Amino acid sequence: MQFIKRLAVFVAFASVLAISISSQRGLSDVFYNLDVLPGISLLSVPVIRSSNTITDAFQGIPAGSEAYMLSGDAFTTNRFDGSSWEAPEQTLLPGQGVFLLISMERPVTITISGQLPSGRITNSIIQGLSLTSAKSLLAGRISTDMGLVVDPFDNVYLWRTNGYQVFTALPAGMWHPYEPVVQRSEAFFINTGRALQWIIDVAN
Amino acid sequence: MDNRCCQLILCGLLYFLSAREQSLRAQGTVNFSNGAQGVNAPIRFGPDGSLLSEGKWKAELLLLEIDGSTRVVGGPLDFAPESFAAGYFFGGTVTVQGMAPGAVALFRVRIFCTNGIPAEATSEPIRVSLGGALLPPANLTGLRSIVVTPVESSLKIAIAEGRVRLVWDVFLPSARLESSTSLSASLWKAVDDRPGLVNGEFSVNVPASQNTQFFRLRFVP
Repeated sequence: MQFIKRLAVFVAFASVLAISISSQRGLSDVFYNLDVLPGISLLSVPVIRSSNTITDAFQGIPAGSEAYMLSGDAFTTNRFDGSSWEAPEQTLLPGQGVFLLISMERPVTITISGQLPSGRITNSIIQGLSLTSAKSLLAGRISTDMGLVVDPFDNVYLWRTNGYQVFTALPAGMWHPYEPVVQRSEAFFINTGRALQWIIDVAN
Repeated sequence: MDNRCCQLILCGLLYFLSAREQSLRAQGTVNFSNGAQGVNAPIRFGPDGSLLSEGKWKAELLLLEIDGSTRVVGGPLDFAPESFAAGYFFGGTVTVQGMAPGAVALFRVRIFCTNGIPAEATSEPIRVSLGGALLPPANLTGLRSIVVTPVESSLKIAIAEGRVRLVWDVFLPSARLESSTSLSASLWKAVDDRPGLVNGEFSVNVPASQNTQFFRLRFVP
């Protein structure tokens, strides 16, 4: 028996215009629109797609856009000419992150669609510096709302316009300058003293 | 193609190049903080061991140039409040002009007092491979705790009109004045008079009631 429910959630974050979710046997079909500002953004695609390639990750991006993927300690450049990417098979999995350069003067709306698993989702974060993202549509304060438990003096780096804002975890659950707030479909760098298991329980 | 169309294309091209240049050909960056992943180096005040906090203490980031000179690239920066994270400063991303991301830079951290009394300390050189471009700023890994000591601290004494005037540095807030009629360790007692603040120094006037009287400052951590 299939149980299908559909809901549309309008959220407060400026970058996400609307989300549509329909659930089926533990997997939810999801699509949402993301308002991406001109310049460079650090994004993630938390949904599972048919191929998990960059080709089906972002729908509606303009010609001339570029994606920068971290490979080791350097970035590869992948350019979109309006119809296809230079490296169309480049993968972009849930939990990963990618820089996207929008070479326009105004924000563009891109559509992200795929499936979200429910239940317990684990994201393994390696010790040291790594690029990561939530494997769900969660957004908000990184520990309080999103459940990422870090140790004192671990760092989180959020890309803001043309540089990073640095956040430092302190003892007793405090942060400097404040607990980082991660937006939906936003990736971030983390520098942690030990490997972490980021566990998110997603209700269907 | 008309002029307006050409202008739009040119503007778009310039914007594209500008955004790309800014982010991909940026300068090197460093996270100017003594509390970060791999860096736990709280700064203390030598005489009483207290952790430095906001108010009168500042931190500067110095870049050691190849010719041996130094250049201030970050700060002066306040310390965190005593109630929050005493001993630490959090300056965030500092751009090191003239150095590319990934370049190796040598830094020193200088701590100094801003209330007019000379007290400062400088860290050992820290070797850092800079972040920048699309990578986060590098942490000051290798920075160790620093103890800041007064350049000169002394207890000054003067006798006038039957009273003894004792003066010491204002940045020794936890120092306690004690007196004794003998240098025997067991006879020292705290001077009850509350020190006043005069011209940036603590000052106490006590009666010269004994033929022989010794005074000392004792630092209470």
